[in-house]
Order: sequence, then C-alpha cells, then structure tokens
Amino acid sequence: MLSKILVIAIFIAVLASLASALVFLIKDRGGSTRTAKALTVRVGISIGLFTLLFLLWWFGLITPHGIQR
Amino acid sequence: MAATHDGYYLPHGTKWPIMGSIGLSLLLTGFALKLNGSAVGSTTMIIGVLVVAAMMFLWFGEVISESESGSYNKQVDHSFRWAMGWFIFSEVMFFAAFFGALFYARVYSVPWLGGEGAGGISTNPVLWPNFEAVWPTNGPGDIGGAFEAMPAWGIPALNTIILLSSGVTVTFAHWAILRNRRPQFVLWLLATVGLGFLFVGLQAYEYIHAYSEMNLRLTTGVYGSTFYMLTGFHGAHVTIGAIMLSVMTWRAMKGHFSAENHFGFEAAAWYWHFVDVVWLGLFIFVYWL
Repeated sequence: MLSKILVIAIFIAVLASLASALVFLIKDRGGSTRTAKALTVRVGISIGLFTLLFLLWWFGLITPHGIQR
Repeated sequence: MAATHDGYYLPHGTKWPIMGSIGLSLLLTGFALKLNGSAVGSTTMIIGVLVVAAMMFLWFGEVISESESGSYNKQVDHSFRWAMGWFIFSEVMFFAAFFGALFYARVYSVPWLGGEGAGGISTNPVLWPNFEAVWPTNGPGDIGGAFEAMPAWGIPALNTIILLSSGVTVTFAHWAILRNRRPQFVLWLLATVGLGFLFVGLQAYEYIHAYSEMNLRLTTGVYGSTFYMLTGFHGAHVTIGAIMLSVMTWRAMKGHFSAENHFGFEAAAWYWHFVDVVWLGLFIFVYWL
C-alpha cells in the first residue's frame, strides 16, 4: 500500500510541474525560460517514476495486473 | 482586410468558419445516416472529414503566413496563449471523465457488486450471489466472455519508454530554439516525431493482438470498455500531437521561430508533454495499480 501511495505522490509532482509550465507559458509571454525549466523538471521526475516502478516490481513490492481467468 | 492596432487585432473576412461548419454537418449527418443503415452514410462522413481537414490545413496555413509576415502584435500573442490555456482545460476535463469512470468502476461499483459496503449488502445477495469482485473484470454478467488482461510489461512498458524518450527529445529541441541552435532544433524535433509515430504503430499492434489472441475487446465488459476508451483516446491524442510536431518541424526547417518568438512550437511541445503525462497516468492506473 505504501508503494502505491509513493507512486501516486510522485505522479502528482509530475502533474504539478506540468501545470506550472502551462502557467508560465501563459503568464511569461515567451519572456523567460521558466516554461522550459518546468518541463525539464517534469521529464526528470517522470523518468524517475518509471525507474521507481521498475525497482518496486523487481523487489516484489508491487505487481501489475496478471493474467485474469 | 486585416488590420493591426496597438491594443487589438481586427481579423479579415474569412470563409474558414463556414467551411468548418459545412464539414462538421456533413460528418454528423453521415454518422446519423450510417446509424440508420443508409448506404451513403460512410461516404458522407468521409467527405465531411476531408472538408474539415482541408479547412484546418488552409486556416492554420493562413495564420502561419500572417504570423511570419509580422501582422500579429503582443495582444494577439496574449490571446493565443489564453486560447491554449482554455483548450488544455477542456482536454483535462475530457480525460478526467474517463479516468473518473475507471475510478468509479474500480473503487465503487465493482466492489458493491461483490458485496462490499452498504451498497454491496443489498446488491450482491439479491443480484449476483456468486460474484467475487476482483480487478480486472468484465462484470458479473461475464460480458464478452473469458479474456486476458493486458500485462504491463511488454509493449505497454516499451511504449512508456518510447514516450518518455520523446519527452526528453522535445525538451532538447526546446532548449535548442531558446539558444537559437536551429540544426539541433530540427534534429530533436524529427526524433520526437519519429518516436511519436512509433508509439502509435506499436499501440495498433497491441490492439490487433488483444482482439485476435486475448479476446480483449471494447465489448469486454467494464474492463474492456474503460481500457479501450482511455488508451484509444490517448492514442488519438498522440497522433494529433505528432501531426502538430510534424508541422513544427517543417516550419523549423523553413526558418520559422527564434529564441524570442516561438509560441507555436512551445504550445505544441507543452501539448506533447501533456500527452506523455496522460500516458504515464494510464500506465500506472490501467496496467499497474
């Protein structure tokens, strides 16, 4: 359960960085690099999240939906 | 005649909105005819799609020409940015509805049918006494028959790596235009578009496999319908995003955009990141949790 909460918490961080990039895209009117920086953070956290999913699976802490029936 | 003032922009008279209305009317009329078994339904729909596609191609082309000729002032730029914001708001609501459907089915309706909670006490013994709530499921009615769930490892994980990589390449392109490095800008955009279409191709392969080998169909109860609605609409968005970025690549090759003026690219790049994050959400909630 703790693993699932961690995955969802990091996914929320991804959403937050993406949303902040949109705010900068509208507010800064192309006058700053804040949009690009926020999107770079977004990509970094996303790759980290995928790596975490792999590690949680590798150590048996989380299992994807298996073959059903 | 278009005219630019300091505070606002007067657009010229234009035929594109009425052309779009005619196209959409043909598309929906064709769809209604098709549902009623008419022989001309499909043809009418195809003509409608072609008219809408032509309208978008010609209208967007005109906007690009106007932008490149310097017709747009800061006020127009500001309105484009807010339009992007509202467009994304509608997109978020769109996907929230489908994620919401998945959440409702998994957290409420399926456990109730299995006997959990106040809803389950009355529902399960009366309607489906032998139903055990486990996810994935096609429901107590076994709609669509026995099926296999889509495993996370394999094509879905490979597709996640492909989309995450495309997020990296589009970010490289972003930083390249901010530093006015055009060759790198074009190169990273080409890589992003390539990865995008590769994703769509693999997704199509996965669907064919699911239909032919796993009996996992749109009609496979609540699991099949939520699976295809979410991944299908996402796939459509990847296709649209890849087409947008293809246009941006073509524009980059033609010398459009600069470190100071590149809203068209930046909006398309943000859209690509959005589509990437939606997939990450799908990968987590549809395949894993």
